Amino acid sequence: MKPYATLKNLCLSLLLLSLCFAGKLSATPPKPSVSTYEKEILPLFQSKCLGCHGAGKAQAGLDLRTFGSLLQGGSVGKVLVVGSPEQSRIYQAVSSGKMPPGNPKMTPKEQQQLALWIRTGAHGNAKQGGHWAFKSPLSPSVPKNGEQNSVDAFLKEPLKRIKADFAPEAERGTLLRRVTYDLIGLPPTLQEREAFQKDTTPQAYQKVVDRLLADPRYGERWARYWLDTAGYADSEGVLQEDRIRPNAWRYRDYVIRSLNADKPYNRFLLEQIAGDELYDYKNAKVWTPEMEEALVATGFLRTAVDGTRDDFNEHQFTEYQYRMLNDTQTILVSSTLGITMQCARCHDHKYEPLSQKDYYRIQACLTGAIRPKGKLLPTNRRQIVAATAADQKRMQEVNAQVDSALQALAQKEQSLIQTFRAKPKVPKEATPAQLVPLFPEFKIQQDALQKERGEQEGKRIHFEEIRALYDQDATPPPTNLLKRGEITQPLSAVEPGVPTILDSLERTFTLPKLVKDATTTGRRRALAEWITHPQNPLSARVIVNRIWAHHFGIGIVATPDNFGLSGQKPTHPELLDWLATQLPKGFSGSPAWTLKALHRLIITSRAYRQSSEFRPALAKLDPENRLLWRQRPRRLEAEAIRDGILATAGILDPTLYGTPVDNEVRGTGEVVAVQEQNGGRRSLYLLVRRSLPVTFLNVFDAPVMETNCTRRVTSTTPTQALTILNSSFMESQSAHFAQRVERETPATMMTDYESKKAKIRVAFRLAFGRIPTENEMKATLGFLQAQTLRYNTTKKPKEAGLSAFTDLCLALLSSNEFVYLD
Amino acid sequence: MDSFDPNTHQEILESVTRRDLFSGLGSSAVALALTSLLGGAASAQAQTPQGYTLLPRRPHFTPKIKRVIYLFQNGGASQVDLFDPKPELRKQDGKRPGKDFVNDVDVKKTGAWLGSPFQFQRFGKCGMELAELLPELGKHVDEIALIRSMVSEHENHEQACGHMHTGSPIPGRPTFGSWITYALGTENQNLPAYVALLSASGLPVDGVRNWSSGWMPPVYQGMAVRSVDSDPILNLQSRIPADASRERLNLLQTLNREHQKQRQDNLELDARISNFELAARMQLAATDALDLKKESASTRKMYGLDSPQTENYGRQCLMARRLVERGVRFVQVMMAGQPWDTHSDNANQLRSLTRATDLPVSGLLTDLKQRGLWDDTLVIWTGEFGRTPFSEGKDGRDHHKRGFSLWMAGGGIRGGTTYGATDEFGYSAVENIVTVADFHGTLLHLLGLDYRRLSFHFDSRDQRLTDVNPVKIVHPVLL
Repeated sequence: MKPYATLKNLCLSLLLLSLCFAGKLSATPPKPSVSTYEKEILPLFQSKCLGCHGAGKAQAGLDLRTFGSLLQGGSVGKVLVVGSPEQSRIYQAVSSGKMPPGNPKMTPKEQQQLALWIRTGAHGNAKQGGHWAFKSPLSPSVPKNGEQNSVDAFLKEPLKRIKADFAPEAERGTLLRRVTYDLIGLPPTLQEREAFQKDTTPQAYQKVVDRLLADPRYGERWARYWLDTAGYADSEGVLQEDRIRPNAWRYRDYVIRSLNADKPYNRFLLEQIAGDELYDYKNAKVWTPEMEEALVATGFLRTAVDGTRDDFNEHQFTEYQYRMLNDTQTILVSSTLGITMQCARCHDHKYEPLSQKDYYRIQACLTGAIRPKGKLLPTNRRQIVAATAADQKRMQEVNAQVDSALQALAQKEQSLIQTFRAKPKVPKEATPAQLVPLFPEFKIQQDALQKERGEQEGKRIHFEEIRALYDQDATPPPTNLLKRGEITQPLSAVEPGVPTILDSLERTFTLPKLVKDATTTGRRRALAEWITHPQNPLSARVIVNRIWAHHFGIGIVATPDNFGLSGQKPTHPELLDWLATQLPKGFSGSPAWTLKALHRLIITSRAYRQSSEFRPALAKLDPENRLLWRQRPRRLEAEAIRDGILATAGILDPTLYGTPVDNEVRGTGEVVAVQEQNGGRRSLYLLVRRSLPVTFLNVFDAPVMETNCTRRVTSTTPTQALTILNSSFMESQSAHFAQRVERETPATMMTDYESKKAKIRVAFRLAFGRIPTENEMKATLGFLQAQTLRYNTTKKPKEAGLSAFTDLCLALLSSNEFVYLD
Repeated sequence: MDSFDPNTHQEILESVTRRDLFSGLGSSAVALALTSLLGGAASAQAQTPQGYTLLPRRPHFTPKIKRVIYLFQNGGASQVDLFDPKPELRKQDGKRPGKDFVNDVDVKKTGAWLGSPFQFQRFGKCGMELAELLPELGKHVDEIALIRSMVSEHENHEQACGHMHTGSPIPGRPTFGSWITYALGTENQNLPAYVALLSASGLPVDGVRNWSSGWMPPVYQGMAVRSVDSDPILNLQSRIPADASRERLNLLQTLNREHQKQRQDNLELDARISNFELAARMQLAATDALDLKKESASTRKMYGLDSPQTENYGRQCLMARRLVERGVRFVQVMMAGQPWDTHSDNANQLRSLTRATDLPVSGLLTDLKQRGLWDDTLVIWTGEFGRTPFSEGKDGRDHHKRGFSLWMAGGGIRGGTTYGATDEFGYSAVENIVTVADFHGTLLHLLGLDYRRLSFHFDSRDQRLTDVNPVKIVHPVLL
């Protein structure tokens, strides 16, 4: 009963965990342990001391950020005497009220905590010096164990300890399906399958990987993941009305383009966080595509629910403004740093060494653009016109001229009409349409006016608008800490910065000195540069882990959304750190921070390519397959299921980019993409309206973006079964699939029986990439016969046969084999 | 809960399903563990790969009730015209309120005091005062508890609805129906655990958010059921004849089992196979449950199905009873749009609204009693807020969060109770104020759940329905 034992252990640890969470530990004498330091003492320093004894400051030479630096003491010497709080300078300073010098002081309870910890041994881990994920990764050396791929070399070591090796490589068809779905989100075509099966060269797989990474659909597939973490939506998300953001999709396309171009990840983040600070677009003489690209990229910080509507009263506006600001911050932090800071909005984080001050430091980086107390344009008008100031001026002038010319023309037309109305026997109210047949001359003159109007309209200048986030000016009002997060209760002002625990001397957050005539604050740029610093402890680890999780089902850190103390520990810390330290340098000679090389490294590993076959003996040793002795079978995500169905039915519209496909609500309440019965775009392009999620995608766990989604769940529900069997989408797709099989089955002279068998083979190959087994063939033939007979009573023979085949097609598209990857 | 005997394993199961421990584990490993705990039973259940199930689970302590019917009155019903008599308001009718009385929606719209045009009368042995508009409800006052001191935090519909359903005006949290099904599962695995019963006339304002599971898995989200005869549940009915559909399902399952032969260890596949069977059973069970033709003429009449005026809401109430009777844990009855939003012509709108709903609601209460469901079922009647005691425009009332009324009836409820009070104008709750968090805590309490212990791990912390808000259980309305 191994699983039972595992579960029991789990429950035990959960129980312990929940005790900590409930804050009950403080009620019972704490057991001296390293975790006491991490859970109680460090957070205490965090909130009360690190302002002066932290990164880049370390007043009196005392740095309290890590256990190691605490032991070292300050310029006066040691501050800690283990076992005796009374002799410890640090406790003396605190208990006498000398420290912290300002308010808030340490509460008596906190002082007791500190005293107790010192008295019971002042345990901590000097080597560790704090939480692993908050320290810069060191580059471990790749184990030498004969594995060619470094990923395998790291994975092999722990496997060796349980005397195991990777499973043999997956069967070719399985492998091709896996890697094709993983990289482009669609199934391989028959031609691709045949080519791969036939290619016996050693580079066959490598060639497939290169082809897929160069395919523009790679960008579509991986954009979906990034858009999840960015919380992308095409609507504002406020009230029933849930207004559409008409040009939000340009940011979506930016993400696709950037991934396809293999833009370095640090540049990708820099543009999204501070694109408006990269170019002086306000004073630019020439409007460049790079400039426009960077501004579109800041759409990343415009995805949050936004209720700053021009028709809202001030009170509502302010409330939504703060919510948008906070959500934007959540999106920024959770997607790039993989930590949760929301708790610190109202108070110091209870489980993480993140203070409330930390929260508002980051907020201050955003307030150059989002002025929670100052003037902010409503969401629909917070746009940048994609043109230089001179061009915009020219546009205004030209358009004004056009307007007045049009006005003059309108007057001319009026007087023309009046002239002809005044002619004898013409009714006083005669419309132009009535005048035309009476007076050929009227027609001539009217046409001339019309032509002139057309010419004028042609002169009008239009520039695109960009839904961007941009600094209003270089000097925003101060950002205040808010008592309990209440907007009505501002406390002291906070300088822009980053969480103290993450800051360090070698990569300190530094704000550039404002130059004269600066047009932006430089704050987000400084933040982006800090985030993308190769020494940043989180950024590279977080993105590497996300990509890993999509290729293996679970990340090296199983909580991609939480690298904090309350998150999971990595299963392969050295591997994670090696990947995270290589990424900024570039893998195997590719440019720094590029992601395609990372994909290539992972998916050419033996670990990735191995079969997912179950091995009972190893399952006993490692029931959760943490060590990756097999590939993990996975269900496809909602979008991949829908796209795969469209592709298999042969009616997927491969158009890249552009305005979203509109939704419609059926009488039954079902939300569908318009016109999808005749062919469909990839799910990525369907309108993301928060209040009206597309039913099919929603049912298969596509997230509804209330803020963002850093980890999807996979559920199995009866609603999914009903949807995949009975929805109108599936009805039309299975009919298309059946017609495709009809088309693609060679029309040679065959008996009806042989023709049926041939069609079944084609259908299986299209759906699963393989021919049916004998059992399957028998069952399917039997089904077709019985089902055709059943339909014969109500339909013509040909129709009955096709209906029966359509039912077969639906069964194939709904099957486990179709929606799971081995 | 006869089908599932709680045992020691159950506790383990509970603690497992209570939190997102799968974060660190291979999900199939957990499914494996759960299945071995449950023996063969799990394969027949709505086992989800991540261990989130709808299996019935034991509450924290002995519950008063097992099921809930939540009659939600979208739009915000006027307390001073229905439940909360204010003679002083009538005396001051037409006078301007002092500056302490403001319209939270828009200060400029603070009109003159508007006394109720309706007479209040005492009903039942307890003598509870209700407006003349509610004669049918009046017959049940000795069994209902009326709270006249509810307060909300928001004056917009969407946020206030969110607050009432999820505890927070900001979207994204699970509705309390989700919390309840997450905590207790459901008794009938062939029917959805949580039903959002929609009006035949359409969706309520804010649509699916009203029954969203927020950050909980979708298995706990309400299933939308429209109170119509054909296709009440989306995609419930097959598009091909029933026998052909069964044949097709047999083929699918043959293929699935053939596929699974080589993948015996993968219980997600097993779960998905079971779910197809469950869906097929649900097709039959739900079709039967929602078929109102199976009710006698007298029952249909009791709910007002014989009159066009009451038919719409009557159908919803009758369907609600048929669902809870079959073990559905939570039924949320929603009206189309937000009918109680009486910004103008308040009096006439209330007349027609109460004509449409008073009889069906009374029919539901009578029927629950007749069928022995009363003691296990809780009925809740409330909107997202109340309305201003002063006028908006000539004859309307605006949104009002500072004081409104809610009633509950059924198991565990002290009938004939009137609890809390607003001031002499019905403007502010002043006595025994009940917050939405208090209401939620009380609701969980009736279900045998401790609001402090019921938690779901999300966003790095154990979240509660009542979050960090203070909660007092409203004991005076409970038995």
